[in-house]
Amino acid sequence: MEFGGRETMKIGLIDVIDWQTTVDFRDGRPIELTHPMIDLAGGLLAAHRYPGDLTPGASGWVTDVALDLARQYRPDYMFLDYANINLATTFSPPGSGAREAIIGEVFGEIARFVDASGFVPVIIGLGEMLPFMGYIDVTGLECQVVAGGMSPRYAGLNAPSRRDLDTVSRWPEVTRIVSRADFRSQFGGSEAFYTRFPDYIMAAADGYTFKGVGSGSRPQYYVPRSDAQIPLHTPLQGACDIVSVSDMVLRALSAGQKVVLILVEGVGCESFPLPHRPIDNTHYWYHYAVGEGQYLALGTGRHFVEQPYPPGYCYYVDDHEHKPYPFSGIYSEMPAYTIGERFAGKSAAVGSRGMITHIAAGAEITIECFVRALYNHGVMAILDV
Amino acid sequence: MTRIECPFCERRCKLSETDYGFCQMYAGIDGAVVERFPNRYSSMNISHIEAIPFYHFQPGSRTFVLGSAGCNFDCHYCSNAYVARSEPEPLLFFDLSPSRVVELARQNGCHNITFAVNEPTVALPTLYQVARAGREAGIPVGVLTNGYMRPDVAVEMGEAFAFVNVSIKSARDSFYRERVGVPSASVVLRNVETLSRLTHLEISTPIVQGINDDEIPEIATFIAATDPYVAWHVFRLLPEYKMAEYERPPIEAVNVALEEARARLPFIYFSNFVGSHWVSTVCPACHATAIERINMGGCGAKSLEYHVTAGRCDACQHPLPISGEPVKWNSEDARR
Repeated sequence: MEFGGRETMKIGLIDVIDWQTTVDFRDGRPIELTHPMIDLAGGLLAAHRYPGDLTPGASGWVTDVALDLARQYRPDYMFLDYANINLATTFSPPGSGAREAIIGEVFGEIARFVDASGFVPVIIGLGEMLPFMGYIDVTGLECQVVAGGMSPRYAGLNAPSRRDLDTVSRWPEVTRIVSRADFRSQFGGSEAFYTRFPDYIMAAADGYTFKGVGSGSRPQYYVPRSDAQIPLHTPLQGACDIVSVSDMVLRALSAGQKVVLILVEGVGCESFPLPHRPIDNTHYWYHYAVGEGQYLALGTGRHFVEQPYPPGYCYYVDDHEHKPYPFSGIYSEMPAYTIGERFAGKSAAVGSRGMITHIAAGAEITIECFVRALYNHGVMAILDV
Repeated sequence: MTRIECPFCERRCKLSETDYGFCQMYAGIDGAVVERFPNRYSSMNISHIEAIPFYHFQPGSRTFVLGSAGCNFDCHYCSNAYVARSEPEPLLFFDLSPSRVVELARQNGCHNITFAVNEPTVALPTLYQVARAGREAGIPVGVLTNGYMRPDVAVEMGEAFAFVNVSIKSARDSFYRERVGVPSASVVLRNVETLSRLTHLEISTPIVQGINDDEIPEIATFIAATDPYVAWHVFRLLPEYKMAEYERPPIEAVNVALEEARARLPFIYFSNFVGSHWVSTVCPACHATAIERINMGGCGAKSLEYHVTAGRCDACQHPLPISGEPVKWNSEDARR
């Protein structure tokens, strides 16, 4: 297995259609720089306009960009993600046929990449979707409750009163309430994780999401299901759970194979259309659902408790004036142990899951859509130069 | 059935127990106009005030962003049609008293409150109460509005809200008639003049390619006559809703037009595209950067550095139209 160590600077190249700019990715400020990687990425971004998360062709965009990138950059490792089954399912009414259509489209695009590129595929479905059952209103609690994101399944409670804890313990849609101390004694994990951990977290039953300050407001029809197992399709051997995939990929890369890790949101063992074997998608009682924690567990081989950002974490506190990596959401540093970081060869990533793609891939070059809350701003490349 | 004219908006809809007007948010009951959904909201979020956008009011502050549902316009390019032009009741999940809104803002370390997702004119009685509760708690409340309210309401809003951003979508009646669904631009322009006398005002203009991109000099002339030191936020519109197929305006061409206007209006910002180079405040006297910002997507920005003290440029002491001192993002956070 190879372990790389590169001395590089991260550059962001932003394309908002007919206009490009380059930024120092760490502080977000514009920067003037010439480099062959910037020329390569600039041409790719200009040639491939992202159609939008809910627009037909979004999965074709991933494949088109990935094939061009494979031809021009010639990486040995590629990381691809297709988010569009999840997004189309979430926001399309049941019975519309949108889900069935897009599953076919996405897997057709995946096959197109694998067939044309010759990479060894490692294709993983990130879990099933199930009909949205309802919201859990947290605004009546006395304490500060953090339930940010599109479909928050975990909420953080800070300084809850006895009355708050009694109240939430009676909510039938809440399956678990755990204090920081109890969580730590069971899961362990990094100091940074527990520095940010709320006083308590609570978990919603499948089908429900919390609704409070920071929760998404668009009507949704489906939500991710927290599956105990997720499907893996690959000729490679050696992965039995979510944190052993990255070592399996690295072993194949060390053996000289070109490997593509492909994450597909919105499909689990029941709807995954390729032959597969199930792998474990849990850590103790915690079931991963699609999101940063799951991407990072797959991309780094480390469970979510080794990352700095726990569920229900008060995300906005870190978004201060001097937060590094302003285009990387809550992340103030690039995660360690990504396959892209550990592999000494050439790596590249493409994804329709904005922001999480470059976080989880750690590749030398990442191209991802720049979409926030379904607003399509354009495309971004993140480059090590 | 007796119908009563809506006292808030210049559409002057006739309301009854079953006629809710264009915005669907008011009813006429027993000779009075009442809100159908008082104290109801669709969303609550925490944001940089620059993202709303307000660049010249408490720069750097953390704002508690409220949205409800409904609008008195039908902009064909609307980015928020799912709340502005949909049946309101299913969207209005939260039921929060004014004091609870203020409490939530404070609990989350916010320095001010902004109603910004849809049009405030459709929920004014509730928002006046929020403004009053905020004032009592020392938390300023502001709104983002299309400016299409009756003249007396513009006065009330100017007195109630500590900061207001009005969208001047065009200076021409034809735009408002054909793209928005109201007869005239004059109502909005009249209300901008009123609000500029009463409260902290900023102005926004979405540039719609092929529709109003030639209007920049005309709108600039109006703003220069009203208040040349106002912050004017020009957006590169990403058309959605009924105009989703329209192209985005070319950035370089729009900026050429803005550059000419900057000779008269020193605080023109150009955003709604990631990485914009035109979101920082530059001192018009010494050309030093007084407030450095970056755009991370959306109409606004995030502040990085401040070189302004007591409303003056740190480099040359030239007065700048900034209301309030720059605020540290975490300065009110109880958890810090």
